[in-house]
Amino acid sequence: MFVSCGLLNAQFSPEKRVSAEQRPTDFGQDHRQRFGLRDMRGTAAAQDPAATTPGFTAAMPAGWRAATPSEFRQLNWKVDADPEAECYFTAGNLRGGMLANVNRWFGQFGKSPIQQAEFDALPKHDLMGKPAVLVAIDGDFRGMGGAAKPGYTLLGLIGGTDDDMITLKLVAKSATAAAERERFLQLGASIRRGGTAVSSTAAPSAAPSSAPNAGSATVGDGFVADAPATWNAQPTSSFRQLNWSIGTAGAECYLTAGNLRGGKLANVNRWVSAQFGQSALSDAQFAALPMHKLLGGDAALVSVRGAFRGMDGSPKSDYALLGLVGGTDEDMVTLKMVGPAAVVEAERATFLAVAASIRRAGEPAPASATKPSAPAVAPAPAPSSVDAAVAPFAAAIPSEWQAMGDTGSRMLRHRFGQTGECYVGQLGGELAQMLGVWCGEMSQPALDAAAIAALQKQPMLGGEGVLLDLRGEHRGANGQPRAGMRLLVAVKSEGQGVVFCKMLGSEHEVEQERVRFANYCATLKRNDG
Amino acid sequence: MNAATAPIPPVVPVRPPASAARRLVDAIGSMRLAVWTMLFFGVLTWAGTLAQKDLGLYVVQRDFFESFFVRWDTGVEIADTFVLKIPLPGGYLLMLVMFVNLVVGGMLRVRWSARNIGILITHLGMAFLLVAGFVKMHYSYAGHVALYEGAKTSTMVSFHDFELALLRKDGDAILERTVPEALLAGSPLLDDAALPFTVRIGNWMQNCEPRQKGPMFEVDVPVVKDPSGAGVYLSQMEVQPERERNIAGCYATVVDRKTGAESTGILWGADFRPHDERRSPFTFEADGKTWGLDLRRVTWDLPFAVRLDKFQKSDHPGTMTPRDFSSWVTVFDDGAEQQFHIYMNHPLRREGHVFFQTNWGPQPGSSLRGPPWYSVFEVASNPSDYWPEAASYVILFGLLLHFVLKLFRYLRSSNHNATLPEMS
Amino acid sequence: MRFVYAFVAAFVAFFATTVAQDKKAVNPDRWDEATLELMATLPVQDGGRIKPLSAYAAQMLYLVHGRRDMKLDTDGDGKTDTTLLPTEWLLDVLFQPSVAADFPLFRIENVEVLDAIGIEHQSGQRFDFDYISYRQLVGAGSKKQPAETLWELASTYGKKPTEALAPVEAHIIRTNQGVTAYSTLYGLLAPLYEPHELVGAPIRAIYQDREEATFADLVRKGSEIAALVRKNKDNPMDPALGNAMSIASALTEAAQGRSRLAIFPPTGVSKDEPEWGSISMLAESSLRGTVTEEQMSMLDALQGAVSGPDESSRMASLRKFRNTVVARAQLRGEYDKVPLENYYLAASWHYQALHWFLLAILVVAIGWMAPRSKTLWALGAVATSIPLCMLIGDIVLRSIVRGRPPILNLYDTFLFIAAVGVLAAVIAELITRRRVAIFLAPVFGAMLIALARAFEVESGDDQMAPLQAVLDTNYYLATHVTSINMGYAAGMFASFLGTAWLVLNAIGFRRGDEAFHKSIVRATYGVTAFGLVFAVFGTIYGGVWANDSWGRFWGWDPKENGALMICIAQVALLHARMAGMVRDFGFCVCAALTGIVVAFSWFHVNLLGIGLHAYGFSSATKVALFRYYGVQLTLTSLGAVGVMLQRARKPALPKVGAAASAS
Repeated sequence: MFVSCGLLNAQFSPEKRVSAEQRPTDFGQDHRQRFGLRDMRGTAAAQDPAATTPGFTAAMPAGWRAATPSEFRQLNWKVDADPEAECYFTAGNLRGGMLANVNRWFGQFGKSPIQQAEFDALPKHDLMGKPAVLVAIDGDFRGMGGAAKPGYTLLGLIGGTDDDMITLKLVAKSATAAAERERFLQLGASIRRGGTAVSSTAAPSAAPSSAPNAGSATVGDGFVADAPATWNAQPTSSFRQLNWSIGTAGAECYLTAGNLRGGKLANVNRWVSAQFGQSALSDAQFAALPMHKLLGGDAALVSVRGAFRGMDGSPKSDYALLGLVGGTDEDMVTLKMVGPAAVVEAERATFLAVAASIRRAGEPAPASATKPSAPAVAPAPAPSSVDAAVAPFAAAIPSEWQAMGDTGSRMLRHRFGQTGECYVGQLGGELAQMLGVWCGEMSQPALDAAAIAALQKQPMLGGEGVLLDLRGEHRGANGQPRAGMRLLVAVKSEGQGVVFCKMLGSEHEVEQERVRFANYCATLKRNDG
Repeated sequence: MNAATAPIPPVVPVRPPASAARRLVDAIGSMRLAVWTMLFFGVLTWAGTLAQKDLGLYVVQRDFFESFFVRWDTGVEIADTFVLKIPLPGGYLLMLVMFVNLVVGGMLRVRWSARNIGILITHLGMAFLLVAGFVKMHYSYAGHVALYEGAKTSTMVSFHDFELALLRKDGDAILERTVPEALLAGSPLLDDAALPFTVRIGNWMQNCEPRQKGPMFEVDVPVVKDPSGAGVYLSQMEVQPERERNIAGCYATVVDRKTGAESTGILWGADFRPHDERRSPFTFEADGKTWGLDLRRVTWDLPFAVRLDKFQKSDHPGTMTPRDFSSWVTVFDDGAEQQFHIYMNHPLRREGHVFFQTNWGPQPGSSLRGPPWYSVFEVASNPSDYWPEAASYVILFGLLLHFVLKLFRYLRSSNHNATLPEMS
Repeated sequence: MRFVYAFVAAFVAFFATTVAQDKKAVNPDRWDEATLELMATLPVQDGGRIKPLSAYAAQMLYLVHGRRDMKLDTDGDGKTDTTLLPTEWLLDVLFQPSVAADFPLFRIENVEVLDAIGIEHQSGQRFDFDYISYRQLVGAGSKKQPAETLWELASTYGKKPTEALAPVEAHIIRTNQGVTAYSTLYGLLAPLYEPHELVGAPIRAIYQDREEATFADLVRKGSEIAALVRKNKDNPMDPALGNAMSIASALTEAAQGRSRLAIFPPTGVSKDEPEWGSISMLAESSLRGTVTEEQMSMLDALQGAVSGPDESSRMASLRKFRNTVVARAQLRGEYDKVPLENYYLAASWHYQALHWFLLAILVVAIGWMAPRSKTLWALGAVATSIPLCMLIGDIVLRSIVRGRPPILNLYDTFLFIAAVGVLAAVIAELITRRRVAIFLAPVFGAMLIALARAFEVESGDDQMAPLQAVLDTNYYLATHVTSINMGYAAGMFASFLGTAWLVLNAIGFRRGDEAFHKSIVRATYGVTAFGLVFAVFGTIYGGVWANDSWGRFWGWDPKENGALMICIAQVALLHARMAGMVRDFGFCVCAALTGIVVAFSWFHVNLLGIGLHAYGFSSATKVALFRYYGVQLTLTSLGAVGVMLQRARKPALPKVGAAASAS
């Protein structure tokens, strides 16, 4: 009884005063900003067919064209060879569970629904870095209200969870579908959230000549930059795709992309007048600002000094702001450094160098980038001099990995996750024999010639190697077999021996790193000289 | 234990027919009541242990041990139709009864004699322990502080509970007023004459997630339109037994007292500490001022600030068995700085708050990977922090005294020697 | 009377000889006593700690063989003529692998397993269990290797949830685990066996024109080999290079290989360099030129032990290896407890105590034939006290070896609870002198030690493994853990006593001897009170620890609840008796049932898989637990019914416990 009375009389507690610093608060954001919901109707795609919606990216297969995305097709393609073929990727908008959706597809071919057990037994393929169910349906296709089209095939990958489903679907004439099947599967594997897709077929020649130095690259939410060690990478947020703190006096620098509204001038004026209380710039003044490079385009450089009022409203005297505003009014990119004027002035050159080095994740470092720190070289030579000779390799190292220091036999050695390890090695011996050794490690029978021929291909060292992917119990060398492990080895024959990239870790962790591993292998090259 | 032959002095002397009040006091302090209370408490504890498997600790604690009554859903089906549910007295009730029974029967009415000194001391300790529990339940709070290396804070937030916060910026300060979670579920109207608006809370969800509404499906909750035209709604999620994994949410409708204008917003309690401690409340204008409504984990302000200087975790050599988790922190208090080392079984106690090393990250499997590390401290403020320890010594002393004295009395008694078997 | 004494003496002699025989068993073929002794105390780093080789060997033998020793029938007459102790077995596996391959190693209890993996066996015979050798598993032939089939089957079954496994499938998985572990052991010294032929001038130049090099030679010159490879990296196929490249890859392969048992202590201080090296690690370091002189000499000695020219030089090398390692370990301060742990394992006092407890049961039982004999009564007490002392000694040794209070894991609780239970019983007996407690004591002790051993085999873990971070506090381990386990022990023993009272009354044992029955009730009461003190203190102090480590005194965690239930049960029992709600009969029924509460708290809460105290558990433990519940409930209810029938039949009998009320 008194409980319900209490409900009716619910009251606010007495007012309490807290410093804004203690309650960092962003007033005035709309719901999507507040909850970090991505814009599902990408506008960028229309301007740049190779790129796609801000939400997702993929490596477009050869002979395909990007088509305009829609609310239901976050990614959309056409196949050159068959104008009627369509392929699209849908995320998050589907309801009713995976089985129900697959059965809807069967329904489109006039087929009876399948049972959960049959669904579970369907083959799995990679979609967005996770295993997804692959469905293939042949027959008369009845699409949205059209007449039945005979001799059609639907290839569908459905992954994620019942609540958050993703699908990639190709509907085409059966001949087209058969011809494009491999590309379809590769496409599925290349799709990524944000940033740039991982291209599993990228020619190694495209590998960066100066691989980003693992020590200096800051990886943010979809972006990478080379920043000096004195800049401390901070966690990113939906408004700060790259984020650093500089020094101890509270200076900070961050990149904001795509989430800003109101146009470039309005944003600059928000800094100048709202935050520094100075008079706003006119169009002409804005146009006269000096330009610098930011994300491959030109950006206006704004420099303000005075008393600063940040988000929390507390005034700070003798502050300075350096801002770069680039992109278009609709799709703006800003890099901003704010802090005590002395710090900002001291870091000015670094700021511009960092700006020039910013790229979307997965892209090579811009050639023009002046590295603010040590020159990019292949991983620092290990203490042993033998490494320089026996391990003459370089590769793009994902910055999430931690360098472990090479040993004689393990080069470019890195760890990831809790237990995972990844390295490059070379051994004398035939490919088949070596594959047998690795199978043995995972306590599995050696592969026969047919099985070897059927192995997935993996570009590496300017050519093509094969990829061995084993799961199960790793017969660890320490006497304790470890269950639930996964071993990935990309291996390529060279002369009398083989060169290989080996990744070993728990299934879960390897799964998370698989794409990075593919990239690591694809960018592996001999470090001649 | 001279039971066999000697008559036992009854604990409650037999008296002539007593008044009703007297009989009531007798009943309240009776040993029978003690036994029954304990039996029920034992059964309740057992049931509460088994129920944790399905319900999770938080719910069990609330429904079984902090309640007056509980209907224990055993999950046992009878004849496929009827699930066996057993009504039991709740832990709060039982402990209350136990306390009264203990004080009345075990301390006031028991004969104050040398013989009973151990009993009295033990009961005193038990009563003190129950008081400590009572104080803990009503006057303590606990939450956590999560910090990246180098980060500093002076707020702590609850693991479990939410609160609605009404925020207003005032210069370099934030003015805030709060409403606890318990009052929000009943769709209350928050009508405070001092405010230029009223707030109606609706669609309370224990676990939910905001989503963007697409054109191809309908939802049965309100859809809130952003200026950009996008529609956002709250999607109900399955409630997890681990309470801390649920993120509550609700809708708030603000009605301006002057203009009668309505605006509705979604409040969602997700907390991204230590990655991001900024909050973005549902913002509206009223009376020419900007206000924010935020649903957040209950937030307390510490009387000092803490900075994590370093976190370290080490394993036993050649294994993945953790050997040690350690955090080095600096405490800032009124301009003074002081360094502390917090590690397993070595908390930091300061100004009524205790910091315990409880977690760290980024954990394997998370999308972030360390280093940099962050460290999570459980922070508790409990006025009865040391009471149970003190009570344990009192109880131990009392019990030892009682049983040792009793044993000596027994060994000395002629009765004992007389009944020993004869041996040649 | 004389007859009885003679009988007892004969039994003592019998047991003494069996125990002694256990110790003498040695394989005379290869390892002499002195070498064995030395090698048993070789320190190795495994599972996060330094332990004697004998401990590692025992753990591995447990894992693959399910026993502490291995019985061999060397002359094929069907009788055991040699018993290998763990160290001996391990040395055989390492140093004469082809001999060890024929040992009957893997225990097969189900003939279907043999059928499934394609090993022939005599059919038609009654199949109890059999051991198969490693050679049988990997035997060459046109057929598929049984080990391979075993692996394939095990990986298929391994995908099923544990509950869904048929017994034969579970057996196959378990066997495969043993084979996996064994093959690692088997290959531990493998790199050291084959000499490497040196072909071509450049590589021979490194080895002063020798034609062959051992593995240790390769490691010694690792950096020179690496330099050679480096110099010729542009033309690795040059025939003039000879086999230098394949020699280099032999080292690389060894570096990646499975020889991972850490047996080479580093030179640095243990705090800065905690990790010991393995053969693989040495191969790795050699390529970088960072092998220390000392590690090189250790490897040389080990190599000599494998490939020395004759037996005596091999033995000398092995001793040299051991002594070098020990010397370094001593300098690092890591050797102190190795000999002690080795002694602890070899002496195995708790196992000997098991035999003595069985003997004590007999002695006490015989004593019942002469109820008035004080001598026999004293003999029974002594017979129980000897193994009690051994057991306490065992626990003290464990504590010293680990430098920790007695209880760190579940295995420890068995031994500790056995000791405390027996001790409480002996004290109760000294007070009551009714020969009931003293009879139950050895039964209790023997049962728990047997359980401890079963648990050790079942879990297959190192029972001295280092502690998780949160448990790293000797203070609370000594206070909370010890006292709560004393509570468990007393609760369990009180349950034994209560059950005994019921059973004895039900069968009409010593009907009419009220003092006798009364004394059992008193003992039950005393033990319960004893238990209550520790259970209450332990439980509350657990809260104090939790307050220090998790920030809350009490969290209604299953293990905490379990402890609370024991306290409640005991307090309720004592109060109920004081209030006169139960008399002797009710008291004993309740005390008997308290055992179930204790078992629930001791083990069952861990099986629930929730809470902060949940440790991993196998289904075997669950089965054993439910069996205990069943037995305890059956005994209690049968006893209770029996007592009621007795009373109904003999209404004239003075009502049991009529005079008892609060005392």
